[in-house]
Amino acid sequence: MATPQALVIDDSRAMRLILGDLLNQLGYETHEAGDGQQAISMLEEDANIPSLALVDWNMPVMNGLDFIKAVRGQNCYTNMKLLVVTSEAEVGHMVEALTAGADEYLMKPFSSEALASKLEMLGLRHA
Amino acid sequence: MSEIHPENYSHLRNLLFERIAVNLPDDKAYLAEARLHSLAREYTSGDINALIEKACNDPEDELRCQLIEAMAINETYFFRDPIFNESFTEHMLPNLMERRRKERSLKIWSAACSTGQEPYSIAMLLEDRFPELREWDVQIVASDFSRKSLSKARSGRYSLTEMNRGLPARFMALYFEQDGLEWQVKKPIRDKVDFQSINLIQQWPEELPAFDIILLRNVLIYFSLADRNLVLSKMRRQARHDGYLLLGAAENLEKCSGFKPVQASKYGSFFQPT
Repeated sequence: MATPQALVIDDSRAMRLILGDLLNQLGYETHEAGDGQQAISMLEEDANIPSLALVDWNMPVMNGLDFIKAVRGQNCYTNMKLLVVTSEAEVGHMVEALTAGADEYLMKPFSSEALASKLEMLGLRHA
Repeated sequence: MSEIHPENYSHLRNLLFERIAVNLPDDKAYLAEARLHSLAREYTSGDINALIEKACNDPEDELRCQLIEAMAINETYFFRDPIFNESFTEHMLPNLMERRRKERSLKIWSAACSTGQEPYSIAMLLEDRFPELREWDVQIVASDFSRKSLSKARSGRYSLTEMNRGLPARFMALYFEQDGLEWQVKKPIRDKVDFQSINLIQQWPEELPAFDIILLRNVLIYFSLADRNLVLSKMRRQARHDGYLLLGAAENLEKCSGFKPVQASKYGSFFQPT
């Protein structure tokens, strides 16, 4: 079976490394983007659509919410699960993200166990 | 951290067995050292042996209760195992509701609820997936022996770490409100759960009703065979004849337990009275 692909979108390099590391441990091959716009460019350039995108909320150029809206506006990304990973813990943000089409929401700081639990909730396999 | 003397470890094991029927194996002294650390810091300047001696000699029961509570396993989280999303909501609950349609009554018992995530998960699930139950007489009883766990359960307040474990974001947005660094279950959901102090190996309250669903997940594994049989025979009397007993994924029952398996999945096993 092919290694599942995940896209990590976060403006913090340190966070991208941490998330990438955790996802690698869970059996994912990861790709990184520093903002929503860069993530969209990467998706457009690559024919392989990742099964999962981890999306930060606050980012320059294009934030997480706009990325979710853009992606959910295109049919080809329907199967890509969108997990918002953010320190924005307000219910209002959560509702906005879910309404825009995010599949789940994980609040920072979190444990690797919490990430694995969210992937399970999304029906995604992990090691 | 101080090491527990064998005789103190033996006192501790006896205490746990007598009060909550938990069999602490010979070789788990390190667990006791870790779990009693903060209590020892509070009462005996970090000396765990002094703590156990003090608790055993205390004319009051208070410290012994705290010792037992500190040793108990409180592992729980919202929607623990996807059992709630699969067999429970797709099959068991709809079938049971069909059978109870005339009496419009459903009684559920989360029999070792720890800090409350299990009964609140059920309350949220019923509210979200089965709105017609709002017109029914639905009773969710949640019990535990630990006063500390029950106090937290009643408050319905959870940390970020607890919120991140197993709780779907949609439910978080619908049924919780943020209060500083914590989140609290909204009152209408809190009000649906009746928390009671019950020690499974001691006498149960006489007013406990007959239950349609009993959740006793990941509890029996800590008991001796004799205590397991004792609790199961009481559960058998407390369950309605066509009700269900839900155990954890790793648990099974002997043929003579008074329950027969009706469904097993990798997330849990369902049993019905024989």
